[in-house]
Amino acid sequence: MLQYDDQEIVQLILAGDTDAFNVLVDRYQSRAYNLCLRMLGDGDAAADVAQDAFISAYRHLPSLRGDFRPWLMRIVANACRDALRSQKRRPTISMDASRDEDDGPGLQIADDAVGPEDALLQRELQQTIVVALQSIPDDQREVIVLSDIEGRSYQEIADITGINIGTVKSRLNRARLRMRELLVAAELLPRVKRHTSQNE
Amino acid sequence: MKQLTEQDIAQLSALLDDTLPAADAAALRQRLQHDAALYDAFVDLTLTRDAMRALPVAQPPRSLRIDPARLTKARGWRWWLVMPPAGQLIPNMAVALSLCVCILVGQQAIGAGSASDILKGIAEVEMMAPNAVEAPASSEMAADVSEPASQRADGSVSAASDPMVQLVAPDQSVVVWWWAATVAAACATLATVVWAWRVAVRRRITQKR
Repeated sequence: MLQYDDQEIVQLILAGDTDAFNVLVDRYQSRAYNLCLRMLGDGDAAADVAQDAFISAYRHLPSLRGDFRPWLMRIVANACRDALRSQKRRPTISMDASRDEDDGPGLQIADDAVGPEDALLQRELQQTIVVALQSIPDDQREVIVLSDIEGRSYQEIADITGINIGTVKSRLNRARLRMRELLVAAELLPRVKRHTSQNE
Repeated sequence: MKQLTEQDIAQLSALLDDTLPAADAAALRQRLQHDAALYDAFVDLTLTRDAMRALPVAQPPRSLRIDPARLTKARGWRWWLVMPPAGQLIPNMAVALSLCVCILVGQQAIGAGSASDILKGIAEVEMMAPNAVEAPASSEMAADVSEPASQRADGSVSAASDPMVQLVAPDQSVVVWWWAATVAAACATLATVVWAWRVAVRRRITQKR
């Protein structure tokens, strides 16, 4: 079943093959989880929200029009928004959130070839980005995550978030400016720049 | 850090994403060569974007696979619309049978007789006593209708004086009820057929694509 494309698997599910849905889960769980993780900043909550989004996708599968992937990501983004709203109504402090980020496989240094100083700098920068992301408004974070982390186009972001392209651009500009301010304040970007110029 | 205008940031951001028109991009590149603050901002934005893009892909702490039993429980009402034709037939037949049973039981309970009797009764009432079934045109005529038929001035035969009409006339509401149920059943069947047709067409289109 792995060789089937999304549309074929969707047809199988609609024809009654419930197990086929887990093929789609396997295929997109990483994307969905990462979007939730960057939006929510908490690994366990991200996993829960991503799974709920998959269940919601399954429930609404008969109303699917067009491609599965952007449709699913729209559901995941909506689920993240709902979770953020819910968090604001009932604020809780996750004692494990920062530890999850530190210990999770996502923040392990990807490239072993870099030196220890570079690796430390890279790790520090990544941790600062993760923290900085949580400090910008939800609507701006959603757009910058989809654009600069997920690498999606303006049109795709507009489709996923349900806003027009002009709003996508303005939110992205504000988010990038805010991220820049936070990283400059943390004195990470100048260090990166100096480091780059020294290497050159 | 020099404060940049929103326009500057928008242009730098667009340049970063390669969405700035060529002429504007060339003009902005010219400015970048002479404006250090603008250049620094562009470098910062580029580094920020690159650093974000370089964030490693995190793996979920657990598999997000869902128990099929939970999925089956999560099914919404729309699943009925996309069930395979054989599967759709069962609930459709159940609905149609239920309607038939309701109609027949309703007829028997009120004592209206069979559908053909009722239709025959309507035809006879209309033929024999048109005044009895027509609505009075004025308050004077309405008063006439309330009087016994045998006492009418024009001497016409009314519905109440005929034994056959007496049998049928009290059940007019049953006739209306029966027709309403029949029309509702017909509409429900038609709607089901249209839905099934739409689903079949949609499926064919999806398969072709």
